[in-house]
Amino acid sequence: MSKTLTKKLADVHIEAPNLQKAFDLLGLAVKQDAQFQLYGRRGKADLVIPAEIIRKLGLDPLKFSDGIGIDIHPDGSAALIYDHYNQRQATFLEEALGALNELGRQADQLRQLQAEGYLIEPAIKEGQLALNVWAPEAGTSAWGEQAPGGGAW
Amino acid sequence: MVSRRQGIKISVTAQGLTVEAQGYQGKACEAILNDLLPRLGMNPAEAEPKAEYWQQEQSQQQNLNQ
Repeated sequence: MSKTLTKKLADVHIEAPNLQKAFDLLGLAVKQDAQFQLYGRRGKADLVIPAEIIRKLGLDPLKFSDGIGIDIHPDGSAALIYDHYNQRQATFLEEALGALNELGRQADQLRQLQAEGYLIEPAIKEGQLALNVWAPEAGTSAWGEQAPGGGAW
Repeated sequence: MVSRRQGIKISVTAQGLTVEAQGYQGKACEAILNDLLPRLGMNPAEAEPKAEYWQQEQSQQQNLNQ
């Protein structure tokens, strides 16, 4: 027997366009206002993270489902819709939603950097979601010399 | 000659977005973060140097003293 959970998230304020922009920047094709398969029934959500994306994130494959849904309410509150067999994957998304929303909020600025010659490259592996923003390649950098061993801040 | 890329990495974490400079050393890290972070709605003053930053600074100082 499987259960479908709808978990209202307490600490996030989400705007759907921001999430969509964040996933676009990361090169991940989420579905808007879509149906998805849950154990024994069809679900529907404002955004659906397909099983394929869960796999790309290096998380365990979804069981009895082909996606995890995110409902976003007009007041910015959000709820995850998932089968309880997929609790771990849902928890990962829950923890990432706030930062994804913030990333989407900066999407226009990142696109502006892209227009200025920066290369924006998704860096996704084993449960890590990141974007590399590479400066335009030039002989010398306006910010200093290139580090032989790589640097860190 | 192989050119080494320079830029920043923006990571999605449970604590929010984290940004780190890549391919820079010492003060150049601060320079790129001071330039880019405000454009991304972040405050460079809130950035905390990683351990490697201080190691690099120390190493540079030792080289100057030799």
